[in-house]
Amino acid sequence: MNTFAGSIRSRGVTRRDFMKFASVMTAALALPVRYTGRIARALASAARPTVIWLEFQDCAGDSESFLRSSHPTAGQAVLDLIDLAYHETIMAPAGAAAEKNLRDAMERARGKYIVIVEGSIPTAAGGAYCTIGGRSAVQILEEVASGAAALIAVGTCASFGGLPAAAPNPTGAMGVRDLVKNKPVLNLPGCSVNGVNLAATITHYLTFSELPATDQLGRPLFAYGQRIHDTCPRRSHFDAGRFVKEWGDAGHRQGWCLYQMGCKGPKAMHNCAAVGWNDGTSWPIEAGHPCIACTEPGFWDGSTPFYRWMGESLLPTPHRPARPQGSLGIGLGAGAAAAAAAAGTAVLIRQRKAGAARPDSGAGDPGSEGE
Amino acid sequence: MSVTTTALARPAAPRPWTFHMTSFRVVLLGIAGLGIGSVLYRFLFGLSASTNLTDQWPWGLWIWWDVAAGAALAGGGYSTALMVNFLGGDKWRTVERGAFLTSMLGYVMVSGGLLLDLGRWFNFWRPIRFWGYHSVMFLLFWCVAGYTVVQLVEFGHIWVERVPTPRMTRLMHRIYVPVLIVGVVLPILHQSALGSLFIVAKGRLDPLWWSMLLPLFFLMSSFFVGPAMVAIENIVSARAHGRRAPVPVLGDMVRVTGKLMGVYLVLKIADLVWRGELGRMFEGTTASNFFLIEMLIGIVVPGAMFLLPRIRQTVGGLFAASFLVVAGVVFNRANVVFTGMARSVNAPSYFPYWMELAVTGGLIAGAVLTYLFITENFPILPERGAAPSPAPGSARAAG
Repeated sequence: MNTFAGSIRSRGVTRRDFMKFASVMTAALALPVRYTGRIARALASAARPTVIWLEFQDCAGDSESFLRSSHPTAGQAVLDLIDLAYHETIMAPAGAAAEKNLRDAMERARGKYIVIVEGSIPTAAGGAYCTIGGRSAVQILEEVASGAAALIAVGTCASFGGLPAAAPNPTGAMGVRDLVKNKPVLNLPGCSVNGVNLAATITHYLTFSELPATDQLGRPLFAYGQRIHDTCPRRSHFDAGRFVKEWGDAGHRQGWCLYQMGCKGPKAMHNCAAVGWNDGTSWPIEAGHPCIACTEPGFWDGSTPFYRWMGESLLPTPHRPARPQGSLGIGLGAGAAAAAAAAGTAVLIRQRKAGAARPDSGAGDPGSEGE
Repeated sequence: MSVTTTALARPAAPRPWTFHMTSFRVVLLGIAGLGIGSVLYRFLFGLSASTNLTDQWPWGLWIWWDVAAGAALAGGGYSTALMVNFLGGDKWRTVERGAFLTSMLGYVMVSGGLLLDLGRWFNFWRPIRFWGYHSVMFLLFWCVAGYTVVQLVEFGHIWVERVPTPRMTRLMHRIYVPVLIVGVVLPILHQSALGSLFIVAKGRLDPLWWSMLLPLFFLMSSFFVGPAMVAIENIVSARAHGRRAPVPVLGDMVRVTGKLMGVYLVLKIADLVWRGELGRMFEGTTASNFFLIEMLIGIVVPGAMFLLPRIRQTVGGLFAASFLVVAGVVFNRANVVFTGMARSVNAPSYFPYWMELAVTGGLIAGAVLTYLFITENFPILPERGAAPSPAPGSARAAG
């Protein structure tokens, strides 16, 4: 059966585990509990979308991030949720056979397949820094993206350029959104991407037939809508001014705030505190290490040195509110202003004319009448 | 068509409505239009699209100006009503109607500001159906909504003089006194509730402003800013209409408020001493300097001016002192909403988006236009040589 439910049932996953997965996805998407049933129904019946997974200047860390998850529900599910037609690290074919796989998948699902991109795309020297099968990463991306329904950039490299784009950026590394302009591109930055968020994004797509709502950087709001700093379990120590001053000092052992040790939580948007890593076991700040803001544009240069604190004034990610149809707002305001002023002017002119014809009125003081 | 009325003998046939257009009013119409367009956009696309508010700065220009400052400045209505009708200040009755009108328009603006500030504005009716009576907001909603209705009824009393409908007139006269009483009680409740809103911000709001007495401070300042607003309004409209402002009446009123401001000042300082925060005033930080400015320029100086007969009995002195009081109270609300919060809000400073300014400007322009229309068509302002408006029951229309 070519559905998610069929796929996992054939591998012996129980109904109970399936429902558990649906509820984890509901929670990750920050939806009310009552959506669990709807998500479960959608997952059980939706046809698995064809996915082409491209790797460019990467470390395969994003693939590792979800493949290594031992939980039966998150990482494994990503593979079960989708019909993964091409993935260089885990597919069996090699060489010409692998290339044929890619072309076949593109033909079979043209206009419908999803492209997941891992790693940045080098643009310097005509794209010579990364070639696969004799073609440059830029060419491959352009070709595969042309037939895609949507693209998902996993990891900070594919989203914003990431590590390869750190100064002096010799390869001219760029993120997917810098290059693909005519298709929807979703960014799931992070070094690496959290498998739960990838699974939740695909779940959202299968359940609601659309990509989740994003911020201005194309990051889904369910995962990147809140600052690390605002959901941090150590936040009360920050507010109370209790800071770790040195590794292993009394405050560090007490779990105090890591801000003065270089924590970049105030400028990082991610749901680490909610979903955790390693199957929800822990995450950096909970484990005693500062956040390095790996989900933000400009990571790496913007976050280094990791252990230098951000200073007295907290400078979070500049909050640029989404203003849909901003020009409509200007139009509405200016139009209503012009209409009101024009109507007033028309009355004014008529009054002046009438006043000129009848000199005893129009003195300008309505209260003085009859005096 | 020709004008045949006199100030004393009003015709039985209704006068035609007038709205004398001037270039100033055209500009106001334009600003109001811009505001309406922005309001539409805000209702369609939400707060994050139309404002610079964030999770860190959830309250901005609208809460400060349209709600906190607007409600305080509209305090002229209830403080005048209280002084004229219940504290035996019948001699001040000439300015009562003007105060009512300003206050009513102020409250319509406050209600508008509150509605705009609701994230899901279309749920505004829910406190009517679902009683969350543990919430300060619930009290605030009911008092503001109730008082706005009361003010409309108070205005209805003036309306029936202009548009005679016998049954309405009788009803209006019958309910006038109860409505007046409710109209004094409700604002006392909600002005203090506005202060209570910030009690929950303990630890966030700077201790210079945070106090368990905040409700009382908000109430007192809204009371003493009232006569100052009435004075400014009377002086400005008298000048605009070429009349003489009723300075003796106004001067007499602000003498009372001058004393109240003295009590407020003593209470403020006593509160700081009792909480052990007096030294904060002189720390030299932005907050402490703003606090000093607020107390000196907004309370001490105008309070003294109000208490000196030589100053309060001149148009210039009265206007200057009243202006300082009004500015001081507006500054106080800004300090509670912004200055006192800045230290504990870990986010870049907030500055309103242009649409926020356009909406606030539009609300003010709309209120001014409505004020002009009503004063042009209804007997509101004290007339030169005319007797004070008679008490309810005596038939003005017959005079």
